[in-house]
Amino acid sequence: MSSSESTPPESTPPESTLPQELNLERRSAIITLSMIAGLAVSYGTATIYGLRYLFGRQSPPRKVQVLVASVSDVPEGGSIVREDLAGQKFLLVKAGGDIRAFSTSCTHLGCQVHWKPGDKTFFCPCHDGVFDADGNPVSGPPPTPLAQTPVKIRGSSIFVTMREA
Amino acid sequence: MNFQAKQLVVAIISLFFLASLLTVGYIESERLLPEKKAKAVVTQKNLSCMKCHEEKSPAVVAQWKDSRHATLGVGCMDCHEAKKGDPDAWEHEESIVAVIPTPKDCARCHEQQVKEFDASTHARAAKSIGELDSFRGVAAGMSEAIGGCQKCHGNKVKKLKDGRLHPATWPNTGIGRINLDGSKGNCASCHSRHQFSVAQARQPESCAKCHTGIVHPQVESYDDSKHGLIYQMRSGEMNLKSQKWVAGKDYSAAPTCATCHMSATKSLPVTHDVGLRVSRALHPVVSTKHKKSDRKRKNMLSACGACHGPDYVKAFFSQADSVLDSYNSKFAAPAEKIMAALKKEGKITPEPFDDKIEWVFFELWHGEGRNPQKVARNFKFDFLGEAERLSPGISGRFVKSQGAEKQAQQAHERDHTDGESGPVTH
Amino acid sequence: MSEKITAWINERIPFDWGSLKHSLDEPIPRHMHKWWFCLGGTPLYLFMIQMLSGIALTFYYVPHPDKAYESVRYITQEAPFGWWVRGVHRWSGELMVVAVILHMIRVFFTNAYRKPRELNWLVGMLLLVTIFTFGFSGYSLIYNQLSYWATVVGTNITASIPVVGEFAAGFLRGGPVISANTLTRMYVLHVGLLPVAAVALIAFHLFLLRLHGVSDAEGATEENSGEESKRFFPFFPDHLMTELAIGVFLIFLISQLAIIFPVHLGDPANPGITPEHIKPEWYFYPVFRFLKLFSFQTGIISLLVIVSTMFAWPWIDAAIERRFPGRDISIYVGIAASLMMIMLILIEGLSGQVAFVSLIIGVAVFIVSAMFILKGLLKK
Repeated sequence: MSSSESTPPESTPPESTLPQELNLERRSAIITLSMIAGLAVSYGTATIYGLRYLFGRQSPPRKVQVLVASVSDVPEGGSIVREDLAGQKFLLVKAGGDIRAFSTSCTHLGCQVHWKPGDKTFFCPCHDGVFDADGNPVSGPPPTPLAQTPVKIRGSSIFVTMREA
Repeated sequence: MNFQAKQLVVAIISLFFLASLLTVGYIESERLLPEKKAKAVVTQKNLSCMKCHEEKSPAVVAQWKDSRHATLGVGCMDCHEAKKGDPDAWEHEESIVAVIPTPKDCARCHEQQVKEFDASTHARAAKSIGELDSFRGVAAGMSEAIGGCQKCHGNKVKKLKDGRLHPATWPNTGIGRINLDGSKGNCASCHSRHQFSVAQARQPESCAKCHTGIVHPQVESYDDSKHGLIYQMRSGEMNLKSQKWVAGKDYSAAPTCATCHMSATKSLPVTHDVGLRVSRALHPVVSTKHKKSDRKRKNMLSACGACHGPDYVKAFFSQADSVLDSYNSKFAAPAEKIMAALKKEGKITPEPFDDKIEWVFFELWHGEGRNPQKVARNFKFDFLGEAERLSPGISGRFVKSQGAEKQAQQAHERDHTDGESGPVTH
Repeated sequence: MSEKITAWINERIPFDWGSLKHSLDEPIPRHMHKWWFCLGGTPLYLFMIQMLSGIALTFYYVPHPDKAYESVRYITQEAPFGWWVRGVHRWSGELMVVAVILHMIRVFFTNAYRKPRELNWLVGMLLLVTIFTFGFSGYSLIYNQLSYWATVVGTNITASIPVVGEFAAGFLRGGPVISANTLTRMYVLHVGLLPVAAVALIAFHLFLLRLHGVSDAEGATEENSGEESKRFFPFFPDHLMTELAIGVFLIFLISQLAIIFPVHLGDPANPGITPEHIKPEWYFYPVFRFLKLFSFQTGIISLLVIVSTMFAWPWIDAAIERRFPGRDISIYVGIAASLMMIMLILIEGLSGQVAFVSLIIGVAVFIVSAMFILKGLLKK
């Protein structure tokens, strides 16, 4: 019978099974990983700080009460225009005994509304929107009421709540 | 250094970097924590004033920036604005201003306080000294009066022909000042400008500016009293900046002038009418009861009630009343009658303060009147001595005998105490 | 998969990526293992930090006299981490000047400017001038008292340079006197012109460096340094790791400096009041002090002579080497010059008696270094 016996090949230990080599490789992997982790965490934190710096303060500025006019400045049934601390205009309207502050920004597309003393309504010239004396939309495209801000009367002075500059 | 070592170095240093960043984050969060003080709001109206006055009168602007007015956007023109034709209008740098904001100006927002103040004796302070002989005589001259009495009591402000304020009448921050627009008073007497701090007005030092001195030693009396002493010892615990300031609720360390005479109590609202709780008028020779004195006494008891029980308070006031009654009956009333008689008999001239006895009499019920021992001595020797010299036998007509006096005293004590009587202090 | 991506890119950007990789993978001489030789990479890294932090600052800074100080105040006191961003920018700038000067000293004392690298020395000198101008222009942007008056002094000194002075000063000021134009110009310089110039110069500097290769340490030859593989080591990843370590150390140091020595605002600029003590940044002290020692004209002219000498040094050194070969005259001149600079900085920066003592020491040092130079000249 032909001998298919062949000398078994010299067994050499396959690479990287020696215990020391394994440990060395693992150690180098850990070191590399910890380096990458260290860099990622530290530079990452720095990046987050940078982004927070760029985005600026996200919390809305405080609200303050500001003296804007005297009661006598507002004609009965009429209105006057004043500006808030950001430069946005608003209307002070005296109708039916009390004074109220309304935003001039039409809730349709943002045009400036006017107070019509005769009709006791707010009128928006852009698309003929009309709001009543309470700011509720009565005709035309405006979907929602005009924004109002709280008014406080002290003596004969009008204070309006607004965002700090 | 081999490659791995370098990697390790990078890893370690990056941890140091991370630690540094965490410190940065901590510092940043601490910076944000303390609630920032409300910023001063400079509205368009007041911008041009600020631009110039920040340089010309920096302390004024700085004080204003510290005020509550500033956080509400109440600035220069809101108080100093005037209309053309106003009695106190003055053209200044393309604006029309009033140099002196009066209670009428303050009333634009502080209507209630001005109304109360207007009804009080504070508002009448300028008129009241004009009516007193002492003003003309004791003051020794108009300049002395302007620089002295009027500085607290106030005077009448006048204008020069060119519209500027008359230097003899201004500056004056007397509490009863009669302003050009006819209003009476000066809010800045107690709420010093331009900070107008409520905390500062609550302190006795504000009142002490005027309620002091030989003529009316209120603050000296307070300072020596238990109330004043504990205030001095605990002045840091007074919670002065709190909006609500009710004794017993918002603070309890000690009472100040404002505590009893003005501030809100459990049952009374705050008032700028300082007379609402004062039942006795101490300025006349013979002290009297004010109108509605029972109501006013009751009001005062409400203030005392925060710290003292009702019996304690009632007994205290009866002791105080008995001092007044005793002084009135023993010294003030007889002396007053003697002076009237001397005048009637022509022993002294109608002109005030030209006779020696008029000065002695003045001392009896003014400064010296605070000290019972001095009063007793002066009355017996200086006053009666001088009166006898002018009109022998006069004292016998008006001064009760020792016996009668003692009887009156005992009767009074019976009614007001349980038999014990002792020295009475404020 | 990656082959598909590579093929896609190669079709659309038909560039020889292979040779690029090879040229970047320049072998680094062994001596660069020493950290002292990493002073070139340091300014590059710091420059990148300056760019990032500087761009961040431009998000809030407003270059108008009425608004500049307030915008800096906003950054320092209100913007989240603004104080830190500003601190990083300031300290990174200070360290950059230090690093650049140390790098220059290293290059000088290792004769790395010699032929054929004279051009790179010129580029380096231009970079030095650029960085000093960065410092000058950047500081003037804060618009506090020091900013304003330093600009006044700086433009006046420029104006007194003969021939071109008035012209140059007029250009810096944007007119005959300091005005809003001046601040805008400083801003354009600092944020626009100088960064572009710096990037171009740095690119050219690195390009030349790559072309020539990092200069070998003197005396190193193939024989005494060992075989090729030991003489050089690869840029990637070995030298990169070194640079990375330096980089993270620098940013850590800068962050700490920003915390421990936060940047202040100072008083807002007041053209009506000159503060009692104006001082420029410390790296201008030698110039500042030098000008105080002589009459103004003498000072300016001698300064110009000194600066021109620095620019022309590779050729001056070549001439000296021809005349006195092997005597290392350059080294002695370098020692003397460095010590003089340090002395001037100390005298200007310290006050009173300390300055007096430093002056004595300085004179002594000058005499000693002069002796060294003579010795060098006489050496056989």
